[in-house]
Amino acid sequence: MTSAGEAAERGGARLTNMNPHPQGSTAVAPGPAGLPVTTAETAVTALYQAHALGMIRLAHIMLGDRASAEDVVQEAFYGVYRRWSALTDTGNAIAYVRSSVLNGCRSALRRQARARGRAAAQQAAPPVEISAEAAAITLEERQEVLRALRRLPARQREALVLRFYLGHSAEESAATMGIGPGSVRSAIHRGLTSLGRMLQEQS
Amino acid sequence: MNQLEEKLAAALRDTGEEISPHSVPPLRLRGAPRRATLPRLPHRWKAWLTPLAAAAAVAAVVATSLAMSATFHGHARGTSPAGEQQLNGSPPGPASALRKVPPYFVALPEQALIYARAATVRSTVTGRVLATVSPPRPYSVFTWVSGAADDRTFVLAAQRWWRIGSGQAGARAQERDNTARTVFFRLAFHPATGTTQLTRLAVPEKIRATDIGGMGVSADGTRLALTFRTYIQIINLATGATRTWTWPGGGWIGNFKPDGQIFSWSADGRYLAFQQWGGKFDSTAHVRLLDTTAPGTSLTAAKVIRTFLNQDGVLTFSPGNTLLTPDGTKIVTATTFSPRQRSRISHEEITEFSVQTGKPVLTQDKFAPRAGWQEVLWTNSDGSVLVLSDPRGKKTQDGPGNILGVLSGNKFTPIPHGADTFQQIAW
Repeated sequence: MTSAGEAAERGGARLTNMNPHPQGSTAVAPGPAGLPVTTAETAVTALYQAHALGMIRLAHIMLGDRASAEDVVQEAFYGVYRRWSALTDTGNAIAYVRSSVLNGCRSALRRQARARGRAAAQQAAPPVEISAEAAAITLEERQEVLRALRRLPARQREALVLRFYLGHSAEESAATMGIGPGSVRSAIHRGLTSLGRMLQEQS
Repeated sequence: MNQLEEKLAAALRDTGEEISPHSVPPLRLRGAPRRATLPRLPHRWKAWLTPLAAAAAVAAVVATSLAMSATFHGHARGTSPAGEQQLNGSPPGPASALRKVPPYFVALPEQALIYARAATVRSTVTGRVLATVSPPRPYSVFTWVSGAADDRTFVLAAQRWWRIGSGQAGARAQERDNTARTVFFRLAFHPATGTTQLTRLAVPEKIRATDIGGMGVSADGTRLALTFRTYIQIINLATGATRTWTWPGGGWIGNFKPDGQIFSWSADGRYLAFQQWGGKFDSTAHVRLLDTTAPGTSLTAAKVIRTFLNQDGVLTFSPGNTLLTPDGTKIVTATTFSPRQRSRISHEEITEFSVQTGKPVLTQDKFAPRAGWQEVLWTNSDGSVLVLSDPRGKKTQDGPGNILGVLSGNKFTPIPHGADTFQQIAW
């Protein structure tokens, strides 16, 4: 973790003691959603500074679209800001953000599928939109891997990205995805098998 | 890693690195970042407001609100004209109002790290602490509290506790905290002697601390509702028999721990009101009513009483309590309104919604936006007497402090000495 990240962790740890549903007269002012402006904003901003880059990269991998990735991450951090009162520690906060990012990516992919129209959505292998910016610097092989990855079911795709991009253990991925570690291992195994098959077909 | 795994890892790494550290847009928290409602702009035009611009926008809205003399076109039935302009909440009420509320309440004062090491039984009329009770070993903290209707029986959830350090150092303790077993106790208060009795309840399942998203005991104290995010269980506390209803869709039932009371029962024990979160990023709250006597196991059968969208221009609420009046006719909650049109004024207030129609039937205790936060903590049978947490306390560097009080006839009577929590507290 970078120093910014450590600062965020420290800040978050402090803030867990400053519950926005405060004690006695030590109340704090609420934000737009009834949450304390000072504590929640400071903490979530620190979290964002420490983790936004990683989260946008994660969403970008999942979506292949930078603008949508930024939107999803923005929404996720706003979500944790709104619910700051309910979080007991920074670890929970960033785990919540990570789950929200994955959920947001899933929703965005569903929206993309709908937007492509019924015919396209019915195709076994919907076209993958790689951003122009990405395409300019991407090798064909990498595109093939990403295309194949995005053809996988959501659970397998997420399990592979969490394992091979974030380096998460099955237990960590399970917590993020809201499923059991056994299901994560199964999804990774199946995902890799499918991925290998698809790449062989393409080559 | 085999060749395929290495290829995948490299592709992911390279794709991620297309986003440079210098290209991360600033975070936008203030000024309603509900991007889903905004028109989609070309990427280069994306309006990531700088903090300065966001602050200016907030200041402009506040200034506009203050400058406007336009009348709020909403439902200010319970608010006096003077109060409507000043938006300082309902006027003061008589001390006798305190006697309209059950005489004892239990609070879980949050100590050093979130949870309560002891529960305090207090007097509603005087605010005095009448008894203090700690969880028996090995349990060390109380996490949830809910009250029956007899004014002296409460149910408490307890668990073991470990100090959670920051960063990696706290990971193991956090894991222990997440997986620690939650147990339940009945707390009986005996006013004549000022003593308490704590009895372990026979809840059959082994429940992990993070599994629970809310808890509510029925008015007669015989049944306990628990939410496990994707399903609700009602446990018969006499027999240990459980009945389960599941939520098949996305989102979840309840909230994060500990975040107020998401359950409330009708007096006859038939209906259970609960919050179900869903929609985009789970930011839409539905208050639903489950008929616990009806057959079936799906929570989709629970009627939606009111949906709170996380948007400007509609009445919504902050995550907190939504209470069913025991007569089953209304839902009471603290609401907020942020207008989209300049002719309307932002405000926060207590709103009662008809269970029949879902529409507001009474609003009172109106405050200016960001004056503080409100919470409804208890309601009498028909919603005519409420216990609230209101931003009327001493000002602090962070804003106004909150106090406890009784709202009756649109008048607010503070509970002396208040309490040291406004979250896990039950009458």
